[in-house]
Formats: sequence, C-alpha cells, structure tokens
Amino acid sequence: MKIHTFGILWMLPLMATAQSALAQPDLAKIAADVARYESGGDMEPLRAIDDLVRATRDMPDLRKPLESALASVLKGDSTFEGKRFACQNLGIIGSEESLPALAGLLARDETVGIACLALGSYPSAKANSALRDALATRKGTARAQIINTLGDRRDASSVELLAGLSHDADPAVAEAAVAALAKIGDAPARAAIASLRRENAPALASAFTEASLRIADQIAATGDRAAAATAYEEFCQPSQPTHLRRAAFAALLRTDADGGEKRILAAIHGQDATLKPIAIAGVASLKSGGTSEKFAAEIVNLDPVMQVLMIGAMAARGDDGARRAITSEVQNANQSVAMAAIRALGALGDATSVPALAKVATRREESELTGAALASLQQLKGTAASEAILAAAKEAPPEARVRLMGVLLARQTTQAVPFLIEQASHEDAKVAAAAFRGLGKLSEPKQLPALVEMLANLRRPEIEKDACGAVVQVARRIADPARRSDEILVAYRKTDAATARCAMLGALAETAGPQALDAALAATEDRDQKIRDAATRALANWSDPSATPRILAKADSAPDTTSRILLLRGCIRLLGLPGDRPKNEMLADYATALRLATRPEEKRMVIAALAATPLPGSLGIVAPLLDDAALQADAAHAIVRIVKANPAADREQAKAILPKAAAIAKDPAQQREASELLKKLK
Amino acid sequence: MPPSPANRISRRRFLQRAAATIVAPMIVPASTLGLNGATAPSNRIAFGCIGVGNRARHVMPSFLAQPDIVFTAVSDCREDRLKSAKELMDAHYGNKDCRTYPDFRDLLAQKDIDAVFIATGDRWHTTASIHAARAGKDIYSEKPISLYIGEGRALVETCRRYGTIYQGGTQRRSTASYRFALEMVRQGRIGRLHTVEMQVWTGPTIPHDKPAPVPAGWDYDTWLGPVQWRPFVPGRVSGGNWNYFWDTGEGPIIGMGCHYTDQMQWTLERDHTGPTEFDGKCEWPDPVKFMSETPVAAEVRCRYADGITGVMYSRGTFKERYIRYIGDEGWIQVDDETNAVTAEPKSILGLRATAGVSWDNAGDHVRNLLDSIRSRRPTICHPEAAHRAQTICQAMNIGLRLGRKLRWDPVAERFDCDEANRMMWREARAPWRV
Repeated sequence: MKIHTFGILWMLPLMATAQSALAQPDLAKIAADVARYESGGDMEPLRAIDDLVRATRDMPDLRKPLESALASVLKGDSTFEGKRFACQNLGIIGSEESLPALAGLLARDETVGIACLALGSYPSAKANSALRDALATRKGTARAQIINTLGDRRDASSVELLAGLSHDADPAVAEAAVAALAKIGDAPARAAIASLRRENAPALASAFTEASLRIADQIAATGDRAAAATAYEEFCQPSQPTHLRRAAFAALLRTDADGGEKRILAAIHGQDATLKPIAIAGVASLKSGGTSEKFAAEIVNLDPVMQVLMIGAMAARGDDGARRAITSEVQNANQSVAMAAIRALGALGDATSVPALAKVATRREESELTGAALASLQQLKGTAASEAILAAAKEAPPEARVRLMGVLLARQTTQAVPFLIEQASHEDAKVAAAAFRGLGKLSEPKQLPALVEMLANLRRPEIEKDACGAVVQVARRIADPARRSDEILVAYRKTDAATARCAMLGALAETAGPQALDAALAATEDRDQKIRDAATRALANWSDPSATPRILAKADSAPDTTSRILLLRGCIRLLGLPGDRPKNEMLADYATALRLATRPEEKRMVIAALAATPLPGSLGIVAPLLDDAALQADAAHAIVRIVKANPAADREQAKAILPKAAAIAKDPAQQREASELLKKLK
Repeated sequence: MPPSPANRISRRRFLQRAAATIVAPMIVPASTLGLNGATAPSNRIAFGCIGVGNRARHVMPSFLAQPDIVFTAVSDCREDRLKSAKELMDAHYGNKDCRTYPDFRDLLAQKDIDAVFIATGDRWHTTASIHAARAGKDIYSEKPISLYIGEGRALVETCRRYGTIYQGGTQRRSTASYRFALEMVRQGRIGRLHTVEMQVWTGPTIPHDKPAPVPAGWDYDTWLGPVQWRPFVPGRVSGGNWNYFWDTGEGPIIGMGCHYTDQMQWTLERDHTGPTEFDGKCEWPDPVKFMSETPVAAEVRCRYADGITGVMYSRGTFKERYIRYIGDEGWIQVDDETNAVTAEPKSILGLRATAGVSWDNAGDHVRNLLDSIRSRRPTICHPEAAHRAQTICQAMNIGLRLGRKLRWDPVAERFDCDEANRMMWREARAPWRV
C-alpha cells in the first residue's frame, strides 16, 4: 500500500516509543488543520488521520491521543467540514471520552446530523443518554434525527419519551417516534404502539402500518405463531390495500405450522384474485410429502393464467411429482399453458420428458411451440436424455427426424455418430444432408476414412456439399495440417470415377497441402472435362496462400478464358488472406496477377486487394494504371489508401505520384486526403 | 408497437431461446393473459421512473421494448432531467400523458403505478426502494443496491415485510455469456473451481474543487437525500464523480465489482451466505492533487469457508474488465467489454449454442422482473442475493479503509472487529430513515 509522504513521517515515530510523540504539538497541528478544512483546501491532514486510524488499530495508548485530537476538532469555531470529518472518524473509533464533544454538536441544529453520524453505531450506552438529553432542546428535523438514531440504536430506555413524542405537533417528529418505537420493539414499546393506535390519528396511519408489520415480524421471529398470525391477519381484511393483503398473506404462509398448505388450498379454491398468485407461489416451498401430486391435481381446476403460475411453482419444486405434472400439461389445449410446461421441462426435465417434448417438437406445422420444444430438448441434462432423443429420432418420420438430429447436434451427442452414418444414406435428401452436417460436427478423425468413402461413393449432387463439408470439418480436427489431406488423397487415387474425383477435389481445396495441390494441378489436365472443371474450381477456392505462385502459373497456361479468370480471381483472393509469406514474393505475385488480368474487372480486383493490404512496393504496381482511362479512378483511390496506410514506405514515389492521383480523383474528400498526405510527406 | 408472436420458428431463434433459458426461471408471457401479442392497457404493468439521469436513459430502452409495460410518471430532483425525461416518454407514446414529480414520494402515492424503476445515484437506491416497498410498489433498482451493509439488510427485511417483488440491477444474471460460464463451471468443465478473478478498472481521481452555489433547477437537499449534509461542491457531485467519495459511492470495487461478486455468488450457489475472510491492499489518491477518497488501485481477496478464493483487482482500463473462473482442469473467462468468452480447454466453447445479446441489453432482466410481478415468485436477483453480493464489496472496502484483514460471520452478519462492525451502519439524514 502506498502511503503518502505525510503519513510516512508519522509512521516512524509511531513505530518507536511513540506515545510521547503523539502528545507533541504535531498531532495538535493535524487537528488544527482538520479544523480549518474546507473543500478545495489541503487534504493532507485528513489523509493523515485516515492513515493514523489504520496504523493505530492495535495500539490503544496511541489511539487515545488520536481520538482526543479528533474530539478537539468538534469544539470551537472549526469549519463544518472539519467537524464532519471528525465525526465520521469518531463514528469508527470514538469512545466515551468523546461523548461530551459530540453532545455539544447535538445542541445545534446544523450539527445534529453529523453528531448522529458518529453516534449511530457508538458502542457505549451513554450515547443514548446524550441523545435523549438533546431531545428536549431540539425541534423539527433535528429532533426527528435524534429520534431516528435512538430507534436505530434500539434504545429501550427511550420508550416512554418516544411515546410522548408521537404526539408532537410536527408530523415528521411524530412519525419518527412511532418508527423508533417499532424498531425498539420490546414489550413496553409494543404496548405503547398499541395504545397509540387506539388514539387513531389518521396522519400516523402509514407509520402504524409499518410499525405493526415490523412488530408482527418480531413476534414471528420469536416462534410465537399464534400471536404472529393474529398480528398479520389484521392486514388480510378486505378493507386493507392490496399490497398489504398480499404481504400479510405471504407472512401467514411463513408462519403457519404446515408451511401454509391449508391456507394455500383455501386460496386456490376461493375467489380472491389478489391472493391466488401468492398462494400458488407458496406451493414452491411446501415441504410435506406428496405436495407436488396434491397440487398437480389442482391444475385442472384453475384458469389458464393460474395454470401457468402453478407450472412455475411446480418447476421450482423440481421433484419427480412436479416433473410428471408439468409433462402432462405439454399437451394442454391452451397454448400459453403448453408453452409454460414445455419451457419448464427444459430446466427440470429428464429422459422421461423426451417423448412428450419430441411429440410437440416434431409436429408437422412448425410454430413457437415446436421451437420451444426443440429448445427444451436441447437443454435437458444428462446422457440418458440424449439417448432418449436418439431413440425418438430413430422412430421419427423424415422431417421430424431432421429436427431431432439438429437437437442431437446441438447437444453434441457423440453417441449419435453411428446413427448419423446410417442416415447419411437415407433416401430423403434432407435427412441425409442433416446427417452429414451432424457428422461434420460430431465425428472424430478416426471416422474420417468412413466419411471419405461415403463422399467418394456419393452419387447425389443435392447433398454433395454437406458431405464434402463433413469431410473437411473432420479433417481439420487432425492436429498436423500436413496430414489433413491424406485420407482424401488415398480415396482420390483409388477411384477413376469422375463424380468421386470431383467431390474429392472440392474437399482437397479446403484441406490443402503440397500433395493435394499436386493432385489438383494434375487434374486440370485430366482427359475428363468434368474433372478438369472440378480441378479448376478447386484451385480457384484453394485455402492455402502458399499455393498462389503455382496457381498463378496454371492461370497463365489456362486453356480457356473462363479457367484463366477463375484461377486468377482465386489467386487474388489468396493474396488477401493472412499468412507469413515473404512480402517481396507476394508483391511479385500481385504483379503477375495484374499482368495476367486482361479484363478491367480483374485488374480492379488486384488494385483493390493491394489497397486493402498494401505492401512496400505496391505503389510501383499501381502507379502506371493512372494512365489507363478505364482504371485511373480506381488506381487513384488505391494510391491514396496505400500511402495513408504506410506513409514511410516508398516515400519519394508517393510524393511524385500523389499530385497526379489527387488530380484524377473525382471525390473531393479523396482529393483533400491526397493533399493532406502530400503535405505530411513534405 | 408490440411484436406479434411468430407462427413459424427459425432454427436460429430456437438456438437463441435455448441459450437464453439455461438457468432461467419460468417465463410468463403476456399472451398468458389471452392477449396474443397485443397487450391491452388494462393488462400492462404501470411503471414510474425515479431518477431520470444518464443511467435511466441508458437502460430505459430495455423497459420500453417490453409490450406489457407502460411508463406513466417520472421523478427527479433536477428540473432539466425531469423535463427531458417527460419529452422522451411523450415522444415514445405519442401523447403528453407522462406525469412529472420533483418529489418521488408524490410519484409513489399514485395508485395507478404498480412498479418503479429506480435509477438515482447510489446514495438513494435503498431509501427510495424502501419507500417504494412501503407504498406497495414492486421495484427494479439499479446497483449497487446499498451503500453500507446495514442498509442492505434493512432493504431485504422491508421487501420481505411488504411482499415486494424486487429485482437488483445486476443484469448479467440474465446475460447469455455469463450464464454459459456459470453452466460450464457447475458442470465441472474446468474441474474443481478454486479461484474467481475479477478485474475492474483503475479508480478515477477527482481534483480538488471548492464549494459553489447550487445551480438553478437543482434541488440539492433532495439530491443529497439520506446523506448527511455537506456543501455543494461541483467536483464532488457532477458527471458521476460522486462515485468516488465514501458518502455517496464506493468506487469501482462496488460500482462494477458488485456485478462480479454477484456472478461469483450465483455460480457458487451461495446467494444466502458469503465469504468468511477479507484482506487486501490498495493505493490511495494523492491528497496533494486529489480530493477523491476511494482507492486508485487495489487487490482484495475474499475466501469462502471451503477455501474458494475471490480476487478483485482494481487496475487497468475500463475496457479490460473481466471475470475468470479458474479450476484445477482449466478456466473460463467473460470479457465484459466485448462479451467474448474464452476458455481452456478450448473445447468448452464448442458447447455454446449462440452468442446471445450482451449485458448492455437488459431486456431479459426486465422480463424476469415482469414475470415475477405477475407470478409473485422471486426474481433472479432477489434482495437477499443482491445484498449478499453487495456485502462482499462493502467488506472489501471496509478492510481497505481500516487496513486490516477481517473475518466475517455470514450467518450473524458480523465482523470479528468492532470498528468494522461500526462501519456497517450510517445514520441517515432526517427525515429519511431505513
């Protein structure tokens, strides 16, 4: 902990013999400085006091002079803020020694509050005497302040005084007195309140309400159920405000020996709409055996709004009886009730909940209910639930099966993999596609050979993408990137079938690697056109930036314009991907790409790519394009971006080319930007 | 216009709902009332807002987005804020019906108001809540719910006494990323939890300032409320600076820290108890330059009886705040600024269905309150939970202010140190009392 300099000076003598040090004028000086304190002034003395409070904790002989110094601040013409600060600290460390000084503050209205700040939790009972003595001379808010403090201190000796003050002409004082009596709450205080209530002063009605409820709580805490119930029942009367009736009812439930069970049942069967929700809420915490079953039987007697609330209470109970009750409401004709049951089962349900939820989840017509059921199935805890969902999926018709497979996927149910492998060849394309998607998420690398074989044998273009995706996802889980294409290459080399090879090439584009690249490049010269086309597409979608030079070379020798353009675009995309290729090599590739681009569209792509991730030397590639009417606007824009990204690179070239770029740029904002950049460079 | 329920459910929405209900209690939709989307005025819950400054305006959209709420009144002791709050409400509802009350007690006296959103400065949260409870209103109160431990306990007792439905504004209990972290910890995905690291930012410092006349339109007496009187000093009160003076705030350890202690308590399922030891160290502001009182930097530890340790750091920037649960087989962390969840082993993250909305959207937290108002069942951040989380931060600060290690009895709610026990209570300025 950093202690400021002033404090350090004080720590040294404190660590020595020190008591005599504190008796020296310096402590008096601190006190004198505190006594002069006002906001905006020197705070070091205040922080010194804070440090001393911390430092002298186990040194009563050093504490005393500190306390005396603080008490001295309370006297005389100290500033209000100085006194306030002293009171705050005396509230922590003050003893009977400081009571006279604090009592002095009680004598003035403007300092009563800060005196009470100190006295509020003063340990000595003599603080109560000081407060009581001050009551006689204070009026209004100051008097109320003292009364509040006596109440907070639970000063039983103040009861008679407070009872008298509850007749004070000032309503704030009278209210404070009633509140204080309630806080004290002993037998004399309660008797005083009962007597005062009989006087029936309307102005104190809310104070008596608070007092009565507080006293009822105190009685309940003693264990006297009968007396507490009598006290609460007053507020259950129909004439009472709604919130008090609710509060009293809830309190009675807590007080009842049976936990409120009889009262709850009576309220549920009754007509009082105010109390029913609270009664139902109380079901959640009933402890007796068979409670869930008992109240489950009540659901049918309730209107839908209350049924929803009862489901909530049951869900909070969380036992088997509650679960069964909620499960049976999943099919409730009222949508809100059914929804409540479905949602509750998400948190509460288990494997036994699956059939009911699956039935809703797999309804032909999708709705909020089916969505909620699917969500709840996903939430169910435990492997038994997963197995039950798997079993339900096996029995479900195709569309429903797809939904349940989605749940298995979301639950990461790896034990579903054998089932998914089987479903991957389902005649329904949606089922098969869903199966592959699931396999992609859930399979481990050891299942890759099987997946690759399935892809190789696939003759269904409509699910090829999902199958390929599954193979790629699983291959990516192989830790060593260099090994990810191995299984696919094995299958690729084993087959001559064009369809299979085309599918493999799609996967190899994602898993990449040198051997995969070799295979793809070789495939561009296959005698089968389909394979050549698939290879070109694969190279255009290649995922590994290090392949760029070889793919560019292939673009250069492409037999047709379409292939050339596809490969070129693929390379431009690769050049924009993050990687660790040497920048000079990448720059050379950009130059090659630009040379190979015969159409403005591809040239623009190169320019845009360079502008997005500029390299040193980029200006040299883009600058000549300022003379090309079709490309000059793009080139000007790119040049501004390139220079802005790295003004230090190619500085002289930038200074030379920016004026031309500025002149060509049509956008005034770009022109300004170019001019500002030029100024900075100069 | 209230949204109408979809008839068809998309997969994305299905997954979002799944994530949102990981540990959520019952949801009682407005459609329960047979309204099928459009909420009739008679079935709306009428709210008043007490304290309509920056925080209220920030959170208000989460309230106004609920189809079954209507704000009918606002209250503030500053005329400028009251005026702009009314303008906001009138613009939202397309009428001029919003009533204004400089004195919040007049708002509470309105019989047509069912509940209140309390977004005053921290010093008012408990007192205003207690008044609201006595007036029969249900409550959403911004955090911190109290400034001292005794005040928090009084709030809990009052809400129980009046059967008040109360939601503490630690809305991260209703945020998907935090819920996900909780679930992963409870499922044992990081092994046995032993440490919870919580980082809030370096405490701001406020330069010296002198008393000045109270600006026109400020009711400073009401602004102070239960705080014992002190002169109006602009640097102490404006721009949120009040956070850094013990009378009116408790610095970032409570301001943000209570969100994290709340998460810690919830994750550990300790909403009715707390740690038993506190110790730490801090750096105080330089009194030569600054008048603020709360620590600039701090490291405070709390320990539960079973040895689990919470460590609160006050360091770094605002954006670097986080909570991290550390177990003997890994860890999981939520970065508050980005709502990003990171973990080791990384495979844990694959269990997360969807990102969900960030903590900044308090919609689910408000929704939870509304459901509880209708069902009369406890909210997700009920008073006892909020108070216990708050107590941890307050105990940390007490320990720092006294410069000592403290032992705490969470059953008796007492320290092993008399001076610390004295700091659990502050006498409110009359006429206010708790």
